[in-house]
Amino acid sequence: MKKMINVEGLEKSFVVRKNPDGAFSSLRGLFKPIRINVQAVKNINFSIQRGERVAFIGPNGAGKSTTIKMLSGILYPDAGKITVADLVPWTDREKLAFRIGTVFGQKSQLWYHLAPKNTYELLGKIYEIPKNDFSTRLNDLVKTFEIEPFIHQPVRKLSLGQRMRCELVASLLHRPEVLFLDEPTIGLDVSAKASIRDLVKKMSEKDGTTILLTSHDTMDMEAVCNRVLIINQGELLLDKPVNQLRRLFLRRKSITILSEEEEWDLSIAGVSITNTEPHRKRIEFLSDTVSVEEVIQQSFRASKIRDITIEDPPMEEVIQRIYQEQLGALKK
Amino acid sequence: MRKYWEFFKIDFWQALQYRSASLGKIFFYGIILYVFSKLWEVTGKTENLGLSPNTLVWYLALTELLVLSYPYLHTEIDEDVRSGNLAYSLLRPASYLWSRYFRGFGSVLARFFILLVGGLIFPLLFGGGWPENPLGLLLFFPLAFASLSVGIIFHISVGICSFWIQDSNPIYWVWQKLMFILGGLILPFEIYPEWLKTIAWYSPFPYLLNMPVMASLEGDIQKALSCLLAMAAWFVVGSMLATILFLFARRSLVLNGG
Repeated sequence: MKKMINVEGLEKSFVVRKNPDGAFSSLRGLFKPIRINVQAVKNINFSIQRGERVAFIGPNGAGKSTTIKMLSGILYPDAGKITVADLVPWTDREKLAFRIGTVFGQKSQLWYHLAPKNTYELLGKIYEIPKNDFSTRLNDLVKTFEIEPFIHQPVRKLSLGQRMRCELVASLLHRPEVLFLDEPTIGLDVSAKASIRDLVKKMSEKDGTTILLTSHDTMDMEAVCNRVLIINQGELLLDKPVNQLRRLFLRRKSITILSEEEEWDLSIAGVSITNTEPHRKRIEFLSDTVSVEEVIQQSFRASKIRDITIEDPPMEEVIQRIYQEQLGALKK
Repeated sequence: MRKYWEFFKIDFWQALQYRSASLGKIFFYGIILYVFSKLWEVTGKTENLGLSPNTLVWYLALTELLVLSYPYLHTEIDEDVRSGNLAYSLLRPASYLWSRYFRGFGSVLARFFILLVGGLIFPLLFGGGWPENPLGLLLFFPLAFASLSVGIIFHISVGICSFWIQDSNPIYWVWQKLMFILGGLILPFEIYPEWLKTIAWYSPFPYLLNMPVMASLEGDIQKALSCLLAMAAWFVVGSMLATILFLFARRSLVLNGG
């Protein structure tokens, strides 16, 4: 299978200015700031095959966005090699632009006061898509992403979920071979998140688009991707298939239940109650010993449930466990 | 080139969406013209301004029309720099600089056409009729488009400065005040002292306001052609300045991040 993204020995550091400590620090910092070299990415190596859907996850400041910026050609690396679709991103940025798509959850490529349709027409011209191809592709995407009811409404009047679906359509119009998704579900409600994940996966399978997705939400990774890269403090910690990561590190589930009753009992083997307050219980268990379904069914039998939240372990905890595992392997 | 035409169109239509803001601008424009028309009516009786009160009202109407047409392009570029959108714009197969230029030109023309309604009605109401050479007004359109086009390229340069100083408003403030004074926003150059006129002609400002408006009011084709030639030269200077500033900004961006 053809390599779509290849990264070897990638390094990037930034110089950060800091004010000196003590009296008049701001004033002294103006004339003689302290310069600190921050290593954002440290010797990263990986490759991604055509059609793979890879999650690139890690906590804030891990180096995810810096790596994506280098992959897309926005940033020059200090050292190392990158090829994306056989092109070097920072020297062939314009050529590469035709072959990649980007969605940044916290930024918009749609014109705020105009309807998405207007932006699509503009993007069709920017990406030099022939008129007939453009109409066919747009109709196809409109149907898949179900944006027909609001494609003519100004973007400012769309909900976040509707807007994100329109953003995805915008990034897929020119049939990119690689799609970079940076926090595409940030700020969305549960159903909107699920819908975005399904649509991204469906489109990738249909078009064979390679996906590199960054997210804080492990559910994005589980629902969309077949492989995961975990990065922390600029270093690549783990490169594994998603099902292995789930088996190794995402077994523990937390469920928070809000009930009508002030107090109620729940006793299931392998399930521990970690926090109890009036009307509220937090329970934890390993999903390979007890199923989520069983815990919920038992809870429904034992009480009148008002609300229920199921959570994976936070990313920080997953990373800590990976460190522990690696340390354990080294000791052995 | 077609992609930049699309940039022009999209911001032209977007600028037309701000209906209440446009009405507010027309109202503000009307007030300025009313106040100054009264001032010149009184001043014209006691002082020799070299031009009739009617010409002065038309002069102000046309210079204000040009000045009020400019969008806050520098703040949009500020926002692109601050939010990091500038970096993401580089991912499109289109020049950021020229897409900004065509977007700005689309926006400025939409505003120009909205304000033009007031620009033709108010001086008729407050200035006591058509100017002495009404056909000369036809010259105003090509001259105004050229002037706004040159102005936009300089506004982009002002906006790009936010890359180094975070907020380009102070530079814009200086640019705008120089435009008002050296461009002759309120009073034509004919009543300026000689030394100020000399300084002004070394800057782009008179070619953006005074000269196109006076050439139109006088119906002077020769003057209009000279003005277009000067504007073409200033457009080249402005484009070079914007390109150099942008190249430095982009270099800093790709080395140090957004």
